[in-house]
Amino acid sequence: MSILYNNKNENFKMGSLWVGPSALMLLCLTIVPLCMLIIFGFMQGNLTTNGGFPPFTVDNYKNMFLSPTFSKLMTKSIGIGLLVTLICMAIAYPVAWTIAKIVSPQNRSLLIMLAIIPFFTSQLLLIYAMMVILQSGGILMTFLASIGFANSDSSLLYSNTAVIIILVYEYLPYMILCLYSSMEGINDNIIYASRSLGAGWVKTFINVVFPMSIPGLLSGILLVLVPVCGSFVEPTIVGGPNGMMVGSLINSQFSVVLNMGYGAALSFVFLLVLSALMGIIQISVNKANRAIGGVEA
Amino acid sequence: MRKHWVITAILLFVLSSLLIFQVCGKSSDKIPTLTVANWKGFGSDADYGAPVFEKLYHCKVVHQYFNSEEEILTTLRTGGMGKIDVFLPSTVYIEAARDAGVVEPIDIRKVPSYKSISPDFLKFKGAVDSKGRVYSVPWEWGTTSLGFNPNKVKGDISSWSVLWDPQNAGKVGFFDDSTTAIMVAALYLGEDPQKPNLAKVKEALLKLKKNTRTYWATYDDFLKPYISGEITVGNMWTGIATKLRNSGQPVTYTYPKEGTTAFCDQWMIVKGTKNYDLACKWVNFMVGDQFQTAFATDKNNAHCPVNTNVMSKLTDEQKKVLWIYPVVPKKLVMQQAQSDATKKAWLDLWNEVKAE
Repeated sequence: MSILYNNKNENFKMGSLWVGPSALMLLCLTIVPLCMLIIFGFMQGNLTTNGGFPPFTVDNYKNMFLSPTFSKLMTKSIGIGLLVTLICMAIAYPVAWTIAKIVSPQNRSLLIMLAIIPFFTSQLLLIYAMMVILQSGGILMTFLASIGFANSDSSLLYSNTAVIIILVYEYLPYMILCLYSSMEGINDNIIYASRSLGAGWVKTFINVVFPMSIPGLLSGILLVLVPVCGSFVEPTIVGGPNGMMVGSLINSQFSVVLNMGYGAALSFVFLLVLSALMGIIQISVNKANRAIGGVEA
Repeated sequence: MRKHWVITAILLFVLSSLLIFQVCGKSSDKIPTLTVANWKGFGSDADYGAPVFEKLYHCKVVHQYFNSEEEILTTLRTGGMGKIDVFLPSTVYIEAARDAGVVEPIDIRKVPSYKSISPDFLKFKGAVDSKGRVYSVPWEWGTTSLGFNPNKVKGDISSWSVLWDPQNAGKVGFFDDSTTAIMVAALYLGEDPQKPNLAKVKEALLKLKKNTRTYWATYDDFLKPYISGEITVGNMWTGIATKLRNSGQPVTYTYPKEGTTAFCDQWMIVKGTKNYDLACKWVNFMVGDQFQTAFATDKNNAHCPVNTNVMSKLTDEQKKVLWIYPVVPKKLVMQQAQSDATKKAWLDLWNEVKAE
């Protein structure tokens, strides 16, 4: 806004009105729902007949912190979220580097296309496709059995391992694309300079590539960690008896008992915890950046 | 600049004429429209359902599908009425719908087929009020009972205890539904399935969890691991057993000696409907001999008719398809209307078991 009003009022440009529609959308689709979430969290049960509002209460929050279910599932969800994010990072760094720096520009768009292709399919279809691979008698188990690592009748499905594999598969493209966009901007000469001054590949990565990829890394973490922590479809379908995550708990409040108040309270605390987590990650990444002498992102 | 104005004018003209056609089209359209809320692919939208009714009464039937009964009830409660004329809640929700004031009493004189319905299904809480007014008309019933692969399952298959049998460890598929889960555990323990001791039930469900390979919620959730051999036994909808049998899988569907969980879906008419008479005709058609016969003899259907005329005429073969041959199960535990507090307590318990 400072650009619009930097001098005097007569400098107000008609063009700035173009902000209107998006601001209105932001208000209607983000700010109003967020306020509703906060207010509904203090609601006893559900909206009454004809949309009337039930009495206010803090019981939702009390129940949440008294019952062990929420904290247990919250810890588990964050654990799975962090693990999936770390695995995605470990896989995405070399891939993004290869696409950005090693392959020829003609092949680059092909490889990016390959990374994007899963987006053309529905999420449920991706899950079912992976299930066919992981199930007993499927490709993976048959292969593992043929080299003597597993019994072909057993399967990875219905376990937390299956949930993690499928979540990594689903969210890896986001991490690759984010890291790619940052790495593409790294000037080759900087890498040559680092190498010619005697730094090995590891040192070059830590002191040059990593600091310069931080903006992409942070948006990648945001795009992977947040939806993974809140996922409930994958754990429900392939997680087996121990698969439940906090997303399933919130979902059940709406689909089974329709306790809007409790569901909203759970969602709101979940939102706060995730925001705090993202804050911590951002601060620690920037700290790490400073420690290795990188430039502020 | 002038060019733009011409294009805009043409566009406006086209749009407004479209709008006028739309309005005219609607006003000349005198055929009454009945909006029916039901699950997708559940009989009423089959060839022998709505299309036949449309021809009989010269009207149009529009289906609005729902994914959960909570959802449809909330839509009606929070003022989403006006469009839906009739809907199909299960016995669990009829009392709640009546108490929320979203349904109209059904004039039984306009539903002559009501007399053919087996009296067993007319006694549900909430179906008839103290003044004798009828609010819901039962349509079909079914069970969620014990099913297994006869070649692979081990142990005593006449009892729910087979699910808890260590010989079947890691081979059980169990329905991810708080009400069914608690009722099955109560039956296994010999408790009253409507008011069980929740602490004992929780203990039993935690033991069952050790045997469970997966909790299922949809047809696919059960069919896939069953066909690939990862699960061999579990509680399942009759519909799942039918799908398995129709695809050539070995499956036996039985009713354990302790009793089994069952449901019965009911038609209710929404308050303030503009098509009250047509809605009564729809309810009458749905429970009448013609539709119930067609529905009961549909090879892909696994729900049993409530109409006694139809039931008595079913051949043994047709009964086999509905899983009620040689005997119709006797010890049915119907899911009943529950208070919000009970529903919440049961869901909390089930979530605790799953989160453990």
